[in-house]
Amino acid sequence: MLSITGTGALSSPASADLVFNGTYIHSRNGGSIPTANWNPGSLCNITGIVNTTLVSGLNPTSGFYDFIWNCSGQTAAINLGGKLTTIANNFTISTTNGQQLQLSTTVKPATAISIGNNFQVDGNSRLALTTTAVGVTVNVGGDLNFNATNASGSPLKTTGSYTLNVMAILP
Amino acid sequence: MNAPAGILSLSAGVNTGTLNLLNGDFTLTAGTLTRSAGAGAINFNKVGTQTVTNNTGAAMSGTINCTVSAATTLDFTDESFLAGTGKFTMNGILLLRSLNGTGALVTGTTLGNVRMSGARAYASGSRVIYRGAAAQVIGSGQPAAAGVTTEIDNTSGVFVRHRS
Repeated sequence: MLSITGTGALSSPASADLVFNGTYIHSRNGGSIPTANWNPGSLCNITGIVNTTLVSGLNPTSGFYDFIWNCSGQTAAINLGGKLTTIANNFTISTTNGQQLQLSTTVKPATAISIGNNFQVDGNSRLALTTTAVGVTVNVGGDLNFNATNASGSPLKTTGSYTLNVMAILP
Repeated sequence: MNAPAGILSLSAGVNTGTLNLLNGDFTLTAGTLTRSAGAGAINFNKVGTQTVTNNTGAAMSGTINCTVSAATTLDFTDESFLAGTGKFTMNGILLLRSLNGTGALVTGTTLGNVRMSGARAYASGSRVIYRGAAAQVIGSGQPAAAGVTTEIDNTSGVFVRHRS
């Protein structure tokens, strides 16, 4: 397990130089996810975002395996800018502390957002797939489980459009 | 969806948010599935039987248009239902399980397996099957469109209460 806290950063010149087989915990606000290869069984666990989005590292060459957003101290909407596009297994949003996690806003992902297995939204989370006029496609290979109890709700889009394909056959 | 007090809004602005259910089932256990502006669309696209379970108090509201593909058998668990102000378009098989005494398929928004207040369209070639666990009633929502086949697959019997 590797954990980045405070203002820490991990520099990796190329993804081949760092391989994750276990868990990486990003427990700082902002910063970057290190450039790496994410092998089957690995987990990228984002826990520390408060009000500053991730600078880079959301689009590793081979994608992530499991990806969890679990930011109980989040105090503002966070826009991932369409950079998180490939998760081979499960994408779980455990909590956003009542703030929005926006997968895409003004930037349309170059390709569809691909989640190989289950897409789950839990706890006090709020999710937006897109918030502007750009369209986004999200392909989910497994189940879509929406369990979030936030009473303000998850507006999957505002002025844009999206296509959310559940149990899609992924390439 | 099992989100007590939670809200999943398929759209909060102009245009349509589209949910394509390509496989698997559709289960609403708790919370509200809606749209606050614009429209939502749910397309039941599974090749085969796709089950709808919504009989434990979850809400489904607003303009959410539901379309069933020609390859899909939409199978409702008991008194489960689709609701809201959207349109209901049936191109495949509607498998009714409701035992409601007014009808398994009723116009209006409170009874039967389909409670959507928008226009209901049944394509030629689509089928409606009554397969409840006890006697069922054909209600006011029974489609009259040409080319729609109605099948009785209920050993307890199916009765006609209203036919328009």
